[in-house]
Amino acid sequence: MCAHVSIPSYWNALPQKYRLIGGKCKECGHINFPPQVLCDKCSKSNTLELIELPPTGTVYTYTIIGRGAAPPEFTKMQNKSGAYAIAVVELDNKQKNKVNVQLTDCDPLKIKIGTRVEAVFRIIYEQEDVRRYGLKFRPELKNPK
Amino acid sequence: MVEMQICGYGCYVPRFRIKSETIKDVWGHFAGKIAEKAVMGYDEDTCTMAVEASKNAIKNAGVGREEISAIGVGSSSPPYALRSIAAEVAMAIGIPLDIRLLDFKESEKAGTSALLTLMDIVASKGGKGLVVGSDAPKSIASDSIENTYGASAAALVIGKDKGIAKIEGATSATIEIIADRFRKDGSTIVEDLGIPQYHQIAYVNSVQQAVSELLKELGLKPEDFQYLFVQGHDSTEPSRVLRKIGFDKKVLTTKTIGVIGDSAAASVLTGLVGILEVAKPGDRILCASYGSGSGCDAFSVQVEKAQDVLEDVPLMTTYLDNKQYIDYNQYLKFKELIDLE
Repeated sequence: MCAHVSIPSYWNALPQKYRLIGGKCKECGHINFPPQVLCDKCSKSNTLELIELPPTGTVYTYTIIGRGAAPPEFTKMQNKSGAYAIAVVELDNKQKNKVNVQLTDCDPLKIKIGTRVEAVFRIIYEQEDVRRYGLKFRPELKNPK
Repeated sequence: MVEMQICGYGCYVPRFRIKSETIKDVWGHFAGKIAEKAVMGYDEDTCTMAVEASKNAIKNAGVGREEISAIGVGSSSPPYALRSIAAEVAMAIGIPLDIRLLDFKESEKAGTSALLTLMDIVASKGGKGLVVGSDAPKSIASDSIENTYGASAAALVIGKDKGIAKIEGATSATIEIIADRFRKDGSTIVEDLGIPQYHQIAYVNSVQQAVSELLKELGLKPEDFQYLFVQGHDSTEPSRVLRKIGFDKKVLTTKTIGVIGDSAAASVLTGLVGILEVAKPGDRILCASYGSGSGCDAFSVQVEKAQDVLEDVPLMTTYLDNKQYIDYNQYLKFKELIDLE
């Protein structure tokens, strides 16, 4: 969540931002998220296969961004939302890849480590009049049994 | 007409609600009858709602993303006047982009325009069509037409086979009228002239004409239908046309408008999903939209079997139960009825 992500950078990252596309190393099987040119684990180049990671997981850790603490591109959103939580979510794949995300549709004070969450498509922020969409996570919403 | 099947359906209702009483307390009156309505959260727009409803419909239909041959999205309140929601939906879901992507934006009946158009496209091109209505119209805080404007999205996957319900036929009717609701170029605010009689004449006549034409075409009578859903600005407006189109008050409908509000181009698809969740095999459903300007699309659906309930694809009832009430100040912020820059 850096202060400015240029349109080309955001554009290049759409598959991971929209659909959690990671890169599986064909040499060692390690899943890189976001996909890297070199595998994080074995450093062999050009050997990544793109795969979609599961849109569900658990909160590994989190923190709350209080009013006024958000980077400038989030100011308008925070004027509407108040404090919000960001989290490291451990995805439900075997390797338990970790992703840095915002949490939504929840009271930030009720989030706990271990809360089950799922990915939802939301507005991340708006910059240069362009709405940047991507995935946030919310507490899992399931039909009652 | 080629008979078209509904292979799966899904919806989305934002979590935030405001009670009509809360609005009445501020302004001293509330125009229209609803109990409460849905309000989009701070990070939502009609594009994000369309994506969630679409994902739900595709999962429920059990079709592969590569089977989708066309996407049509109807919304009278798109985030951009010029930028495709359908393309954003395709990218968000991961549907290959070499398909027909269509956006319908200029009417409260844009959702049924999308449905009728995709029925023709799928009939001629094959594959599966993803039809989406997603809408959250607004006016200004002091205008009574803002009172019942809510938010929701709903989506259908349609195709020539593997259906759980069939769309038996569809008709359209347009009445010439120059003064119903309108949204000016460059504005996000819906307005009207404050003369409800004009709206009522257009509403009753266009719905009546489209429905009677549909019944004639299908050789059906009002008593052949167990369910009826007519789009309206509040939950009582559809009753104005009931008698005129030969239905009595015994025909069943769904409470969606009364708890979601008027979600314009998403209204009919949302109502249809609400009914499909409870209807039984063999039941017939008549749906009619209404768009200012003014016109109506009517269509008949017959249920063949119930859709399987997947634990991780929320039903409309699950979305409706998952709610948080907001106060009027929060409502002004979420709907951007006050300046936030």
